Amino acid sequence: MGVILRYLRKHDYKNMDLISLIEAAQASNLLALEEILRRQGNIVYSSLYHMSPFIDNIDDLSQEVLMRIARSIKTLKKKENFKFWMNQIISNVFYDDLRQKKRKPNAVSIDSFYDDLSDNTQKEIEDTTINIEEKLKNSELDIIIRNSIRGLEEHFREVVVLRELQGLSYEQISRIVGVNIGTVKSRIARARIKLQDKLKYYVG
Amino acid sequence: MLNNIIACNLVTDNLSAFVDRELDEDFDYEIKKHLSVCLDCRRKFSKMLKIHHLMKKYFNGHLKTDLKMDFMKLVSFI
Repeated sequence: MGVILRYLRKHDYKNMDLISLIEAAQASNLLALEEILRRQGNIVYSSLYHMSPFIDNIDDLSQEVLMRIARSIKTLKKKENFKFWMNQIISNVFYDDLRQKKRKPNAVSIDSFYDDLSDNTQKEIEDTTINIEEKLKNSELDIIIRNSIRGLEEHFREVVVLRELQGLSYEQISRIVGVNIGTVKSRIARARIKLQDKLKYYVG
Repeated sequence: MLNNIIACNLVTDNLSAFVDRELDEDFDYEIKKHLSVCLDCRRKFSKMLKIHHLMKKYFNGHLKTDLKMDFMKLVSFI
């Protein structure tokens, strides 16, 4: 495997599955490692973007997560646990940052997130015949959904990101968040009810 | 009547996990059975499913955005 990988070009790594890439990266193959970071980059960025109530340093936090993945990829024992392992790193970086800022989660006023909604946005909210597919392409609906997620309390926002964005199971989420499965189940359910309320014009 | 109310509450409390297919097989079947006869719970289920789909579509849209980052440079620091 190692011998073959030596002759692969950058382009070839794009077609490799994640497990093979991890094996190669653990054998100090930098192109494989680069491909892993490239594939996970958007997931890392989007997770932090939606978990964080602050939007000023998401690039820096994403970079920190990817650096930690790169530095410690060789310590990952079970390759099939990569997603779970990566999410632990995301959580660590996220909470380290919160602690450094010495701010409690939810310290930012939820109301402030709604300040940038324009009059046009308000008109759209009144339109109950909206085609969701079409409107998702609209940046204003994007803002409304983003603000609805940001308006959730920290512990609700976290499970929504892990479930809906990352597609993790309740069991995986419980291990990352450090609460039992029943609590995960209840938090996801309550978060969805809150989102239903905030987005009632779109979900009926 | 009381049984119906309890059943509805039980179903409502578990609709989110039902959408995520996180319930055990027997309970999942019981909820399906309940939804087939209870219009009120079916409406709540529909809302739960819609919010799940809306979130999935929203997040998928965000994942398609190209992250501007020099990954090779990141790797070179290791």
